[in-house]
Amino acid sequence: MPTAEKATVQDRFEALRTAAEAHQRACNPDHRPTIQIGLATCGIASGALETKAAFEEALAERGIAACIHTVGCVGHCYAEPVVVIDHPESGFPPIFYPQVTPGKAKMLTHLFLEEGDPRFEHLLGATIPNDLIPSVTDFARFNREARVVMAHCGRIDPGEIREYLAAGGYAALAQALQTPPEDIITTVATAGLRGRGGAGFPAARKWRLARSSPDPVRWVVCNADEGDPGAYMDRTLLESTPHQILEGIAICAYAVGSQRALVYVRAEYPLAVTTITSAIAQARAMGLLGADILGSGFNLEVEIFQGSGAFVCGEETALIRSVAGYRGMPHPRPPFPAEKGIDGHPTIINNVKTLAALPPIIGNGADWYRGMGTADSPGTAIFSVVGDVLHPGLVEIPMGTSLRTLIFDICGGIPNKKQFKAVQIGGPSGGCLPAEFLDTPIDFDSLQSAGAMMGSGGMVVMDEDTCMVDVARYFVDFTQKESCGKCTFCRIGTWHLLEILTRITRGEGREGDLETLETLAEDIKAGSLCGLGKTAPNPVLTTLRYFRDEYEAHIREKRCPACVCRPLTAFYIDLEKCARGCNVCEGCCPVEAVFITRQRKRAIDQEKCVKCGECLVACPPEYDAVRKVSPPGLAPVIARPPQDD
Amino acid sequence: MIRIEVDGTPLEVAEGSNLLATCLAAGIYIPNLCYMAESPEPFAGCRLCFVEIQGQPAPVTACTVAVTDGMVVHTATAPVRRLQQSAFRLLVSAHQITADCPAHKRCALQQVARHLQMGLKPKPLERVPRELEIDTSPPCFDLHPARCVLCGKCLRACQERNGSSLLTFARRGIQTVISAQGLSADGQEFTCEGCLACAAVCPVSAITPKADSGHCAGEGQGHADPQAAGS
Repeated sequence: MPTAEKATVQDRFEALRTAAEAHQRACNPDHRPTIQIGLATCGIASGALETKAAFEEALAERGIAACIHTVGCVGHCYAEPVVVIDHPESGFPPIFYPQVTPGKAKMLTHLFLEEGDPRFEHLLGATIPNDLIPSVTDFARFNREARVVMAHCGRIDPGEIREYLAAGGYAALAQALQTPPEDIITTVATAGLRGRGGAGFPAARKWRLARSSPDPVRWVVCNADEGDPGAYMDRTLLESTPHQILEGIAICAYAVGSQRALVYVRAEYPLAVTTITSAIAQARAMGLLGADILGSGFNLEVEIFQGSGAFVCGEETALIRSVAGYRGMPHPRPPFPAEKGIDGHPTIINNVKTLAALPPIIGNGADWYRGMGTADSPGTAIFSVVGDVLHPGLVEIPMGTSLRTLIFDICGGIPNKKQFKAVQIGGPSGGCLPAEFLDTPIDFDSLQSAGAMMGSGGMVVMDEDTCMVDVARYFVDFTQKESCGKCTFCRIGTWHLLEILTRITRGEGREGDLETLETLAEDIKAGSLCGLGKTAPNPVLTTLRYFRDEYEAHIREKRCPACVCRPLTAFYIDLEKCARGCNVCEGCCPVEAVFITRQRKRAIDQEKCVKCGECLVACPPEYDAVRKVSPPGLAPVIARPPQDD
Repeated sequence: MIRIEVDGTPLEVAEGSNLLATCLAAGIYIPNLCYMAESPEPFAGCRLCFVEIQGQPAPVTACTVAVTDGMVVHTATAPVRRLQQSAFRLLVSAHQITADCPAHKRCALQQVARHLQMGLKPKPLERVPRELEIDTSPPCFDLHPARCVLCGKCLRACQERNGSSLLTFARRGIQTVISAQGLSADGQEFTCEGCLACAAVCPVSAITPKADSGHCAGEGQGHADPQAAGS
């Protein structure tokens, strides 16, 4: 490329960056205190808007000049609403406060911002190492993460493109535009970037297929049709770092020679839709999208398509069908979307996380990316860790980190002194791994060989109180309800899996059920048309493989070892422990099943009990008298004394 | 022309032809419900036409394969039969069988059952309990969802003939049905002219012409011929 042109793209970009940096400085010229509040969906759900209002009110009341800086999600869901207060005058470094309620907000405004006392009992730590107070970087939750895709999450205002520019954003795009497209694909291939949607297909190989097409019209689709139960990575990224995604889309489009891109996002992610819509408008206004980007001659229009919330639409061919306005149903491959996709044109469909990884890869080079993760799965993985862990949230770790490190070190382990039982990875397409797999490294191939799947990043941790048959039933129920109904195995086969599992959890399992489940599950896996059907039996197959004794207990002994399946459990009150005069359980029982014994203690009428478990929750911990047993016959029978009246 | 071999029989065919169509034309029956030679793309929904192709690790659906020179195909290996029988068992588990069914003895499912040497009971699976009412809302025909195997031939036949389809898939999972609520290409309500192409192509008589459909142009009055379907 001629040098003159190179200078033009770079010059235009430098001008944008300089202006953005100037704008940033102008925002807070006199180094006022800054209150940073996470306002992604998770924060808002935890009350961050009320916290923000409380800060505004308190600042106005006390006449304190401070900036409120709204950012996306920091990933620490357990700590929401998260507030970081930077108060330079106090002498303290920026401090991370978890669970900042409106009351706490007012207190901090008064005591910290006005009087300079950071209130040690409320802070989690300073955001940077220092000599005054402990720093959050001492915690595994902070120092074991490697933030590449999430580098800007919770740091910049997703609604302000200049913050992203000032933080180094769009530099990779400017650099890419001065590089031949083939070289970009080579860099991505050398970096070893694999698709983060679940299957881990090499991104560059897909791109080459589209690039080599004679069709001049090509599409790039950013797949944000996230649907796994418990997964919210894509939503959070769209809400927190939309420009990094747009930059990734632009780099991908430039590399494959596409001028049209689409963000396929669920309509039930309203905040994500709003954020990405305004981000596109801002990028266009700055000349970073649209016609002749940065004067390079490269054009790219990015549109948004709101999906109506069908799980199967995350499957590429179904997504294309849905974009065309039809019911989202997969079609057989080949042809692959990279050859024939939207309107018959080559279409590259990449997950949000795959595209968002591009700016750092282009900016830092393939070797830098390869330096993280494992040989076959370079880079990082993002998980939304939920379930029975102390610190749930969004975590970005280098590939190859063990499940144990992620669950026990980074996410704080299992709360309430319970035992770890299983971890479900990859949503309804993934599998449940027991404790002996805790040292499995997290990468595409290791998880696959264990019978689970990387998936797009949903991870559900389960403690000892989880019934694995019930978990399998839950996931199969999900896939059956989400099946598009096109192919026999998925439509009818998963229904039969569900029917058998439901029977087993009701105590109506029969000899032969497990063999039928196994055979049918393998047939569904081998015979289904699309990825949804092919992976739907995974929760059943893995639980059968690793927790077969639980299935057998349900069928042969009519016993649920975790005491979860209601028809197989009973509640009773341990009369040794029950305290005379306490009637908490009696008060909370919705069906009047709790009665008073002759010794003026409480007992449960098994005929009336609906096994809701309210009494177990309500019984004061100092008595801890309510017991749950399986099979129900183990509960001692206590007769109701004759009524006095 | 290229040479392929199916179950030991050498065949000479045009390169790129559809494997299922090739076999059916050569008189080698492979169970199928949803394949339509006229459709530009295979539907691949019924999951019955599995075959094994030498060099490929697992059975594949014949309707989605284009033949290549030297291809060696087996249509009746144990893995193929296992998948076909499994798919068939699933289909009959959700299919209503009544003595008065107009497709009786000519039903494509019965033909598949004979070929696979299977009965019409889904053992060891349960029957899917479904209470589906006959949909009498379309002008010229009735829809019998309890009989329907969701091969989708009706809506493709309608699409083929009219450019858009009155019939469409509705609902999800086991509840999926064919419904007469399709829209025309411009998003307007579809006007059915009663060509009955849908009824003609249905392999299981899930679409029956109305008794008083004299005003309908109807080419499907004489019901479906299951032998013709797919071959």
